[in-house]
Amino acid sequence: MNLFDYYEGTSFLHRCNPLIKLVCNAMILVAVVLAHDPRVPALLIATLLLATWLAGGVPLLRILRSFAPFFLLGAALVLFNLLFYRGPRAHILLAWGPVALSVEALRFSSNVALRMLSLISFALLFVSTTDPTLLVLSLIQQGHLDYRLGYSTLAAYRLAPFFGTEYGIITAAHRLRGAADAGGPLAVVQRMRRYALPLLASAVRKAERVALAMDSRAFRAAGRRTYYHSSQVGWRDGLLLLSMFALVVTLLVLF
Amino acid sequence: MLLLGPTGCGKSTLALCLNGLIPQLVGGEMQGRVFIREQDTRQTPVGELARQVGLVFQDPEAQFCMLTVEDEVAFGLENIGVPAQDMGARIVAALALVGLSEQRHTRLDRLSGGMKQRLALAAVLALGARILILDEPTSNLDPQGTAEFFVHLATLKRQGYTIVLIEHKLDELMDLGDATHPGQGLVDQVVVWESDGRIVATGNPHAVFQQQAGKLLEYGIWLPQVTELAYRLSRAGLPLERFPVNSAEARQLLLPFTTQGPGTASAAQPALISGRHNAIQAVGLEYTYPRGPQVLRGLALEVQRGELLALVGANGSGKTTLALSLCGILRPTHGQVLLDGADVSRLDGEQLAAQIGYVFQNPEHQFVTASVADELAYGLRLRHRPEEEVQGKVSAMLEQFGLTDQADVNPFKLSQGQKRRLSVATMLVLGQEVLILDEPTFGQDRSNAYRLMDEMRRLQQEGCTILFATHDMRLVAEYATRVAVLDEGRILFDGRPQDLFAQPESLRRAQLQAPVLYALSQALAAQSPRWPPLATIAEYCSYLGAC
Repeated sequence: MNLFDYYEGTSFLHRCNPLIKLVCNAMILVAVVLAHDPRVPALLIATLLLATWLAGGVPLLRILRSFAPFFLLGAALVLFNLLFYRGPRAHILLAWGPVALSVEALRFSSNVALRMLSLISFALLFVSTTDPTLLVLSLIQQGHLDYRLGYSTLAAYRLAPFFGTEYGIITAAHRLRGAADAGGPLAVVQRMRRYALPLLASAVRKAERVALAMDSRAFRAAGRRTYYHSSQVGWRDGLLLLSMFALVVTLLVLF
Repeated sequence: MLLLGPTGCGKSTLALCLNGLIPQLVGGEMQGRVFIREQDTRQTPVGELARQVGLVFQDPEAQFCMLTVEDEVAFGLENIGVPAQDMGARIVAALALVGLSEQRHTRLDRLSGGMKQRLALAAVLALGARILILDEPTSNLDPQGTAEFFVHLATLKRQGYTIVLIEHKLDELMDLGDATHPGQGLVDQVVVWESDGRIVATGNPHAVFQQQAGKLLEYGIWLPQVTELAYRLSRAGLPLERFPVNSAEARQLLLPFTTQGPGTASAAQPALISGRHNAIQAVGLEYTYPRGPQVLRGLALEVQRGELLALVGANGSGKTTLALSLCGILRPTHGQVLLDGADVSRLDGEQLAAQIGYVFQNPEHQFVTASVADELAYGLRLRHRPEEEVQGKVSAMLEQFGLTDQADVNPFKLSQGQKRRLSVATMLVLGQEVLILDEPTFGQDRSNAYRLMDEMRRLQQEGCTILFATHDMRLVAEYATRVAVLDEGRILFDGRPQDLFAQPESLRRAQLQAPVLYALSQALAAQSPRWPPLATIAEYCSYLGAC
């Protein structure tokens, strides 16, 4: 089970229209771009993670465990930016030999990391509370995406884990031929070329089979298509949009 | 109706012609016409045909596009524009027909292979199809899943559905109709193709199998085992008035002969090899997939040099995991594997490859070069053997595995049988003494399967140690010197095949069945106590003094 994955449920967020959630994502993007104060993305992160927990019904531990690796990445990013910061240094916090830590450097580098993390937080909220089927349905029904593209994407999504397994088998198979132990960049490129053919061959074959199965159930031949689940926009979506808008505006006005 | 033919004879292509995908959506050239209830498939829209003809394909992993059972059935209904309020009832009805009512809201990745195939059936039934075309629907299923699938097909047939079935598992199929509805089998028409696509025989099962048995064997087509037995016996002079097509008929036909024969079977099976050097030794093996289930639970297994060992068990019982652990691809979470006395986890890739060969289910996974000859030379060149030696070994291998004419062909372009033989050949070219095969006869027609297994027996007699995982109890009976039964990650039984067949409890627990011919001999013994347990055609023949 992948942690950064859909978490089944029937919470408030699960029942919101996926397309509306994407609109919220756009608002967050705008807020992050416009804000210069690192407190804006920091508060956004806190709100989004809390929302995933309280309004999305995802267990807190799971959220933290999914988020942890990105947090570490963010911390590394801060460190990296601190080391290579070349901007003005008016207020020195700490000085130790040639190394000096200024307020400006800290602000700059944490801003970069926090912006990244706030987008990750939203992705976490979105992925764990959005049923992929509903996402495709709302893209087709409200977003006017071509249904053929939508359903093919869904079919491909279904096959994704299969390629992971397949890749594992192929690497093992080649290792048993005594083939994969050589190191060095050239060997890596060659190895990738060797893996590519069997992987592609089975990918093409699987895709072809799925396409045939879909077509024999009249997929492309549809005259007028109906939908078993209809994707709707309801009061929850209005509430979500309003609260997200309020949050973004408040943050931008305050800081 | 049952369609039979060797691999590559065009059965699957015909299936696509029957629902109009060929020529309407799939490229290529089609001559002639197909009519479904007087509608020409060239002109009738595919959407219209889908309401009448339903296709079920072979691969349970590659015929769905949705994430839950209910949505998958709804998908077809959406395509043909059924109003949303009518869908619920049709979904419920279709799922009930295939016994999946309880799974309506289940996610597809939580279904077993057998359930997935039944779901594929439900998905076309929901569209209203009365003609069902099934292209090897059970080839990826274990015996249990296969049996359940056939039972549902039999029910559908009784309800008036027309079924066109492409299938290799004739024993289960022919016995089934007989068990559920005496006198009326599931199969009432058989059509047989030759490899060039010509029809060679057509008629009811008795007519086809009776008159054409020899021809079918020659074309490499699987027959019901009881038919093949009768054919061999009658060829050897046993006066059989006709050939049986299922076990019940075979029992009746053979009953008069049960008084013949010496009363005890000669020991045709070789005795267990013991007291010799261990080729493989596994101790306390446990394996848990990362973030997944525990598959092996404290398993112990010893394989002696020169054994031909069969690994059997239901899907998910750990056969593949065990096989991968034995050759060092998977590192067991606990326990140890000794290969010729050396800890497998301490050997590097090159040392492993020199000692042990592993043939994967899909031979394509192992191909690393662009021609058959290079493929064989690969391991040798990697070890910097002199080019003369390489050439000599390669041509010897090409000869031995019947691939000389394909030396320059790209491995990916070979036929299924050739790919399988090449993957075995590449695994032997270094002179490995241990060979592990994962379902080596999967998807192979009769002649390919037997050719491969005969080769395995020859290697074993030359002193190689061979392990193969399989679902096919016939192969176990005919080839294995020993059989290990896996059940929930442990060895449930380890011994001679005929001893396993005599243990109905173990078989049932591991969801296995004794081979058809063994069951037949038990049925004969019930009526004529002198009859000994026999499991293969060769044993019957030698007992009856026929061949």
